Parts: sequence; C-alpha cells; structure tokens
Amino acid sequence: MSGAGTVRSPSAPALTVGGVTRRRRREVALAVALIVLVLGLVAVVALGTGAVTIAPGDVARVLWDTVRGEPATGRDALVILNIRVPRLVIGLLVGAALAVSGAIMQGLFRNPLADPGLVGVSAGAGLAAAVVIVLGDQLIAPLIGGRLPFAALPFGAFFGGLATTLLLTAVATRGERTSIPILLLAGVALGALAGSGSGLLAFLSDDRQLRDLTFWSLGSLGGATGSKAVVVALILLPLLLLVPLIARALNALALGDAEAFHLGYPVQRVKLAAILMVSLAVGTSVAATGVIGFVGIVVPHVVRLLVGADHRVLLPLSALAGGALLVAADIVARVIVAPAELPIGIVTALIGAPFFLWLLMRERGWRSD
Amino acid sequence: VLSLRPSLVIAITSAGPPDSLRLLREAGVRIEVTPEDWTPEGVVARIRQVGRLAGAEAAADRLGAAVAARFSELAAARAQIARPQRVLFVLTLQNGRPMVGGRNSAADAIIRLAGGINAADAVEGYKPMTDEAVIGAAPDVVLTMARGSHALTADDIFALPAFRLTPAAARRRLVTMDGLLLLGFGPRTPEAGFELMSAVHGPLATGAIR
Repeated sequence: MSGAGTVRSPSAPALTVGGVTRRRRREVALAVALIVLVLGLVAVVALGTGAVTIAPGDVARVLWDTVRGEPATGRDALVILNIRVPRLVIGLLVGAALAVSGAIMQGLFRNPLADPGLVGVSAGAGLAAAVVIVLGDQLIAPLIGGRLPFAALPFGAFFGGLATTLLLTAVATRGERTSIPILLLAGVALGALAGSGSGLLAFLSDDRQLRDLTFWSLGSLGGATGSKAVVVALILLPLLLLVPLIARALNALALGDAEAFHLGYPVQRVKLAAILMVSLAVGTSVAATGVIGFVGIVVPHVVRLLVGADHRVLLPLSALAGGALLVAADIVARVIVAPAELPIGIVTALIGAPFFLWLLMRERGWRSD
Repeated sequence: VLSLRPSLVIAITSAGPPDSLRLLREAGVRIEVTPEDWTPEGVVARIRQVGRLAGAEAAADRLGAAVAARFSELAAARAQIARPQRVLFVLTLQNGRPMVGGRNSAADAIIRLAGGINAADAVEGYKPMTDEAVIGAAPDVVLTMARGSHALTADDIFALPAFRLTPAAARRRLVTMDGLLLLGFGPRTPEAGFELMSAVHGPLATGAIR
C-alpha cells in the first residue's frame, strides 16, 4: 500500500476545529479514495477465497442471482451466502467498531496509547467468558434448567464488559464530573482484578476448557452465521452512524476539559456518551469474535498519519480502514494454515505492527500531538 | 508434589518442566517415564510397565494379555468393514467454532482403531478448523465427547452452516461417547473401539456392515 502522496505534511495544522484548507481537502479526498479502494479489494478477495474453491465467475453469479432476488441453491451458493458473506459482514463491522473505539479513546484520554481495552470492557468480557467456559456447566446450566445454550458465551461476554464499564465510570465520577485520569487508573486496577480472576479460572479449567480459553482470548471470525451477523449489524451499524455526532466535541476536548466547556460543549455528557459507545461497540465485538487486539490502537494512528487528527474525518475513515484490516487479516488467518485456522489476533499484529513501524520511520517529522 | 510424599512417580514422556522432574529426582523420588503411545502395543506395554512398577506383575500380565486379545478381535472386526466411514472428532464447538482432532491425537488413534478414516487428518493435533474446511473434510459421522450438560446435540451441530453441508448432516449422524473411555487409552480402549465401530459402521454381529 502506498500512501506517499496522501501523508499530510508535518507543517499542516495538527488540529482543525474551524475550516479546512483546499489542499487539506484534496489530501483527505485522496485518503478516502485509497481506503475505499483497499476496502473494496479486500471484500472481493474475502468472498472469493476459502477452503472450498469457487471460481470468481461463480462467486459473481451467486451474488448477482441473490441481488436479483432469485433463490440461490447448490453448494457454492450455500458456502458464499451462509459462510463467507456473514463472515465478511461481521469482519467489516467488528473491525470498524474496534478502530473507531480506539480513535474515540485516544481523543478522550488525550493519549496516543489509549485503546478500547482501557474502559475495562475487554477485561470484564474476558472474565465473564472465562466464567462461562469453565464454570458454565456446573453453575449456569442448572440455573436455567439443563443445557448451556450456544449463546451463553457471547451474552456473558457482552454483559460482563458492560458491567465493568458501568462500575468503572461510577468509580471515576464525583458529583457531576468524570475524571479521565481516575478512569484510567481504575481501569488498570479493574483490569488486573479481572485478569487474576481469569487466571484463577484458567487454573481451575480442564484441558479442553483451557484450549477454548486460549483460542477465545486470541479472537476469531470463525463460527459466523447469518443470524449472528444480523444481531451484530443491528447493534453496531446504528452505533457507527451515531459516532460522528461527537466528533466536533472530541476535537474540542483535545484542547482540555475547561477549554471544551468554554467552547460550549456539554463536556460531561460527551464523555459519558463516548464511554457508553465504546463499551457497547467493544462489548458486541468481543462477544461476536473474542478479543482481537491491535486494530483499535494501530488503525487510528495510521489514519491520523494520512489525514490528520480532525475527528470528523478520523472517525469515519478509521471505521473503513479498521474493517479492511480485519477482513484482510481474516483472509490470511483462514488460508495460511488451511484447513486449520490461525487465531486472528496473531495476524492483526503480524500485519499491522510492521506496517505501523514502517509508517513511523518514514514520518520523521511526526510528533505525538 | 513432594508434600504428597510419593515413593514412586509415573510420568508420561511429555511431562515437565524438566527442572521440576530433576528436583523430584534429587529429592530421592523414583521417577519412571512411560511413553505416550496410542497403539495397541503401546497400551499393552503400559499396562505391563505400570503393573511391574506397582508390584503386581502377574495381574498386569494377565490383564495385558486379555487386552491384547481384545485388540486382536477388534482388528479382525475392522478387517470386515467394507466401506470405512469418514469420522470428524469435534473436541469443542465454542461460539460455533469447531476445534477438531487431527493427526497425532488420541482422537485420531481411536477413530483408526474403530476402522474409520479421520476426516481431519490434514490437521495436526487439536486445532480450530476453518468452517469451510469442515465441508471439504466431508465427514460421514461427527464424533463428540459426552460431558455433563454441555454435550453437543445434533440440532446444535447440524444447524451450523459449515456442518449443514456435510454427509453427516444429511443423515444426522452424531456419535457421542464418554471422553475418558474414548480417549483414555487404557485397558478399556478395545471396548471403546468396539463401541465406536458399531456406532459408526453399524452392528457387526448381524453382518450389517455398510
């Protein structure tokens, strides 16, 4: 991927609360075109590759028939419509959600190292998932009368993540004000607590459960079904469409809480809205795919290097780039060791980290804003 | 381990870490290593070895001979199978992701002993398998372990898109067996082999072998 022509020059303003210059606008347009192109390419490859070989023409025919409303039948159609399309949809949405959450967190914490995990969602969801995997049979199954349903793990992870965020926000809020530094510190403490709980459960688990825990904590888009994709889309799509609403306020918050307040933004409401959005987005993602690292931290940085730190551009572009990275990583994950499958967390770091380092080395003039 | 004051420790080859084992040895504990071997010969040899170590050599020899005889009967039954079935061992199906038993696993060994073909023999050990690869593996039968309330049901498994397209789904062939019996590789293994064989290939006594 060559972003040479679109990387903003070091002299460009780091933050543009007001208008954008014509040159900046052209750079942004180029970056948008580039990311959309990559996204489209990745999506096409994702639909065309897999353990079952299907000719590109057949893939196109199945999709065209479906679009025209003709019921597609046969093995190829089933593979594409029931396995590849749901997997692509979940990959795009989860990638977008993770990247946008990372961008929001970095803006909210005014810290380039912030990542969606900071609000405790990953740790809480991880602990809840460990509880379901290790203790589900003995504790939860008898309560609901018999067998543990398939949905127990994603539901547990989702509510575990949400509960942790609510607890964390309660700890960090005094009166009418949520303190970001306290949120950060309490997040570290709660993360450690949840981590030790998960560790204890790993200790209690048997061989089979330990294997499940390990692979769950590395994430995977495997097991995608049409109904799962619909549920994920129903939560994440509206959320992603709402995110631009807080873009301007995040720009103002970069100047400081007091400054943003004096610019007329409801600082406390924006903070709570941002935290809630991130915890919903990450909670849903973790529930659907397990914990996938790196997308949330690296994608916003890459996009920032391309188009600058204006959240009005950064947030939507992070969503597109995050979706592209996750789907690309998934292609690698399911092809490289086929018929087995690599945990996707390994691949996102493997693709993302060297690319990110390369970008950093090229951009010597870059400062952490 | 030392606080249990063992006079003898029996470990499998892969036991470790080496430092701990050395420490035990230095503490004067006798350590015997038994190979992790999923063949009939390996099982019989292990029975004899453990018997010798426990000072019950005669009993172990009798048991070993009986088990060896059952293994031979199993082999004879195996030879009658006209059309070996492709069996896919699913260890877990957490969040809809199949973790299967590939080559060099106890699951692979018991499937072979029962005269089946391991549908996942392109995978090494217990690994997550790509959904689409399950279709390619084309299992005639899906094999799982019974485990309390968590046992997988045919409804769960064959509702998944990847499994829906397999020959196993067409005839809803799911075999569920006790995990320790299936994968334990001890004196009961020939019985596990017979149980799996008749579940997969039909009752042998009546000659109704597919």
